[in-house]
Amino acid sequence: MTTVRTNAAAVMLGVSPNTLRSWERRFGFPTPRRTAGGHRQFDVRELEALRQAFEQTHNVSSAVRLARERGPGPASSRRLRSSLVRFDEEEADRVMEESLTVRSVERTIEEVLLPGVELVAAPEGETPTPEHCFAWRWASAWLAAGRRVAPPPSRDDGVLICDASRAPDVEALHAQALELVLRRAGVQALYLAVDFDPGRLTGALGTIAPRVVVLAGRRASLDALGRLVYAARRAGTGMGVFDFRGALPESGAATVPRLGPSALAARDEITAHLDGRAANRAALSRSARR
Amino acid sequence: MTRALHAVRVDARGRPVEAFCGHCGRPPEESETQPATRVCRRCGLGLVLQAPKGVAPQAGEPFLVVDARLTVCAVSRKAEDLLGVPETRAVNRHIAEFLLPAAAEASRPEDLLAQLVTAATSDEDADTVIVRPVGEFGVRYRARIGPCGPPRAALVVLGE
Repeated sequence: MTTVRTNAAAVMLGVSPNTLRSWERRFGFPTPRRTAGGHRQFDVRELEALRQAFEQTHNVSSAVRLARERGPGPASSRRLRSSLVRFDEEEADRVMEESLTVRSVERTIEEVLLPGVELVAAPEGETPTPEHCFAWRWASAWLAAGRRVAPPPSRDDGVLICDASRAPDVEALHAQALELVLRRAGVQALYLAVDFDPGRLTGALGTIAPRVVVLAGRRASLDALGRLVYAARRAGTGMGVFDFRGALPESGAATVPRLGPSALAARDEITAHLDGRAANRAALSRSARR
Repeated sequence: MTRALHAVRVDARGRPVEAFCGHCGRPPEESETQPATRVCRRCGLGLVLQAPKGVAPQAGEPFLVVDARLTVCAVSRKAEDLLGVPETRAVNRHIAEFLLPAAAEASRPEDLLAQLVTAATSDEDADTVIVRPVGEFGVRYRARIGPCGPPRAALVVLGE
């Protein structure tokens, strides 16, 4: 942590040292540490957060609130939340761009985008707020833009993600994030809503020929999911069917394995499954040649 | 006699604008050096804002700044006394928690809110409405509503 003394901190903020000390008394922010000799040491990241907030607010009180809300340091989910609740699309894009300078796309999604939207989202079962709907649409558009610039598939194996959630469910964003990270890993991933005609699923499975089917979203009935799993298993022997983030209710007797809760963990498990199958296929073809 | 030219700040419509502190309401101190931030050098608690001449508060006039989401962004020292709420508690709360149209039969609360949104989002001329503090009857203020910023917001100047 880089720290500066009172005079330098005051220069950074363009105020007098007395003003800085009066903010500390009135707002408790910025909060300095004390050296052994009792001198104030201000965190530069806190000062920078406050300086940026001055440009976006109307008085010191609201700037302090904004700086506290965002937290110090680089792009974070709290900073993203702060821009989303103010319907500030430009600022939200800037937070993502800042994050992309220090994190990969996958980590930005997992550490900034999804937690940021979750902080804005209304609790499950409650009516979504306008901020929630705005955040959902913005995040969905960002993930779609990421998919458009994803590299072409480098593997033959396909993955079908059947999502039973609806806008503006946060679960839908997790499913879209999984599709994006799979595509970025070179996997042919396809995202479909579950509420299509079940009779057409067999046709879709035949066309796409996925090696893995992932069930996502929590809105599908057990009956619909049962038909889906049956159709997937009937379409191809050894086709893996997985549950992502609790699409199937926890019954203790489910035959569908659960993937990790994050898109990255799920991607790793799916690619491990695909690699295992590819190794098995190679071993089978080698033994057939012999 | 020498005459000097002074730059007159104007808004997007060419109207002259005045600068004032978002807390003490006074004009910013003239400084030879460019300030590093917009913090008022007089009180240290407000940021310097601009509003068209005629809308900007004059010395001692209480005022509030409300954004397009109708949340209170700034409360002047005089308005703190008038409404009986410190700025630190008023900021980030809905304006309807503090002010309502005074003549309920003549103006609905949503009309006041619509005027505030219009002022915060467009460059229309200032408007005047009669308002009262929430929960109090018989106390009325003439509120001058117009645009201010940056960032864009509505300025509510309370007068007799």
